[in-house]
Parts: sequence; C-alpha cells; structure tokens
Amino acid sequence: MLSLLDRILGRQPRTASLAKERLQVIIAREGSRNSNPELLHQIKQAVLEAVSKFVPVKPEDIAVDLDSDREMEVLSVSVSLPDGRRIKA
Amino acid sequence: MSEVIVVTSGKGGVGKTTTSANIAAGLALRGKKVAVIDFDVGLRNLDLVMGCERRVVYDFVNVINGEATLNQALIRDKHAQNLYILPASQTRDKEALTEAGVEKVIKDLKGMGFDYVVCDSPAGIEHGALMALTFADHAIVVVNPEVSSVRDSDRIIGILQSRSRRAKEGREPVQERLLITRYSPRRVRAGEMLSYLDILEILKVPLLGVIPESQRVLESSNAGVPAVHDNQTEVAQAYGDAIDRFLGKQVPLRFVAEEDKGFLRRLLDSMSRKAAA
Repeated sequence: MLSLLDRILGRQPRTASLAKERLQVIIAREGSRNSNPELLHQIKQAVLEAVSKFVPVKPEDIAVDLDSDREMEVLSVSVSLPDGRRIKA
Repeated sequence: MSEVIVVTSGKGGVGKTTTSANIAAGLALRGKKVAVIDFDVGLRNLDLVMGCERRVVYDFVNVINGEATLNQALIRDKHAQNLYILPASQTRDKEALTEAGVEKVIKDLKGMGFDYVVCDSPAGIEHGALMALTFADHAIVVVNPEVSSVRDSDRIIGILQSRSRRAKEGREPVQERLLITRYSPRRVRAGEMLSYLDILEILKVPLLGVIPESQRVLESSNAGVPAVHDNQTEVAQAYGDAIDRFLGKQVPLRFVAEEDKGFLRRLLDSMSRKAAA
C-alpha cells in the first residue's frame, strides 16, 4: 500500500530495480550464451587437426555446438566427410 | 560490399517489423540500395506496414521454389528510391524456407548490387527465425524494457552466437547491437521501467539506439508509411540516429531523459494520468 505522502508526492515502489535483479539472476543461471566462444573455436581447431590425420576435411565441414539447459551442458561435434556421410561424436 | 542485417528479438510484438521497415527505409533514404525480406511465412505483415500489400504478386517461397524470379517478386517501394520488399508467403508451410533456398536468394540479391539485405525475423526461435539469422553479418536485437523481452533477447543472442553461419564457420562473429523500443523516460524516472543502462548492463551488447514509446508508430502502420519519412517526429529522429550509428557516425543519444518539468506540472500530469486510469 502506498502511504498518503507517497501518493501526494507521486512516489512509486521501485519495481524496475526488482526487474533488474531478477533478470540478472535468471540470465546468469540460464547461460544462453557461449560463455567462451574462443574455447569452442579451439575445440574446433583440435578436432580439425585430429580428423585431418585420417580424412581430408575443411574447417567448414566441422560444426561445434554447446547447448545447455538447466540440468546439463551438451557439447556436440559433427564432422561432414567428403562423401557426405557424417560421424557424430 | 553487401551486408545482411537480421532484425530479431525472440519475443513477439516488440517492434521487429516496424524496425525492419524503418531501418530499411532509412538506409534507402541515405542513398543505399536495400532489399527487405519478410521471413514470417504464414503471417506476412511487412507488406502492410510498408504500404505495398496490394502489389504483392509473388513471394519469397515462390522465388525459392523457382516459380518466380527475384525481379518478378521484388516490390519497389513507393516512398523511397532503391528500396525493394520481398514479401513472405501467406499460405505455405514454414518448412518451405530451406537453408539452401534462403542462401541462394541472399546470394542473388548481393549479385544484384544491393548494399543491404534486411531480414525481418518472425518471433520465436523456430525454423523461420533461425533462417532469418543464419546468413547475418549484423544483428539488430529489438528489446522492450520489460522482463520477458529482455530474457528472450538474451536467448536469441545466444542462438546468434551458435547457429549463424559466421559462428559455425568460425569467422568473425555477427555484430550484435541492441535497439530498445517503446521506451518511456517518464516511467524510467518513476522507477517503473528498466532504464536503457540497466538493459545494457544485463545484456552486455552495444547499443544501437533507443526509440521512445510513441503514438506515431501506430499511426504510421495505419497509413503504411514508415515513421522515418516524417522527420518532424521523435520516433523518426530516433530511428534516424540509430541508422547513422549503424553507418558508423557518432551520434549522441536523444529522447532518453524526461524533459525537466516543474514540480506543479509533474503533479498535475500525474493526477490527470491517475484520473484517466
């Protein structure tokens, strides 16, 4: 309840700061973004080097994805081979 | 050099189509050759907002399926030179937007000498939204100062960072910038609305602009003429500033502070608002 004084002075409860706090917590928890895109790039380079020892592949044939939900993170690496088949790691 | 700009947000109703129309028209008014594509298959609306709904003959899906050429499907805008609209299909299945098909259309538009291809994304994070952002060089993330919109923007930024071609090929990442729309300096000052600084602190993405809440937005979509065409309005000026920043100019931020009214004026305004509510 707003007090009479608050009403007269037009003061409002500061819901904006509540919104900010809640958002900071939920966004940190959800971790939608790659916290470290550089790391993914390094993983990709390492996969490229490893696979290249056996099969010729180009950088664009390799996709590295990091998906996360609340419970766990899934790192998926897929490499398209020259004849179109895919191996999934 | 042509560049692809996706206008995206995750959440619906925050102003993606309005922003696409205004950014595209504003770039065209600055002498750029621009194509704007509606990716919202099944819920076409960019044509209405840009006032060309009665001139739609062929659409994006027709072009992808080879039923029409790009030249047949592109609608020349009547208000700005060098601006063309590629409408979404109203009836087809969303899956009709194949990645290879979208890629070819964008490549062909680049070949036709367009400086910018603006992709108006549908809401959500489904197929259409992914297709709209896949080929982006730049992303304009439209966000309202409201919790669900801010959270969804964070999600869509994450998706840009993992699903775009640039990300998948390990190239330089998509350049993301925030455009805050429906901003009310008065409500921010009253502590009722997240400030643009709060949003920047939460999302950690550079700011492209702040568009004030305004009745002009509704009026311009009523008329089918994007707001940037009437440079007298705050909305047009705010979009204009955002476009200038996009093109690399340093432009100070306007319309983010409430004009300083006296105590009595504020009291009267506040009372009349309460009476109206």
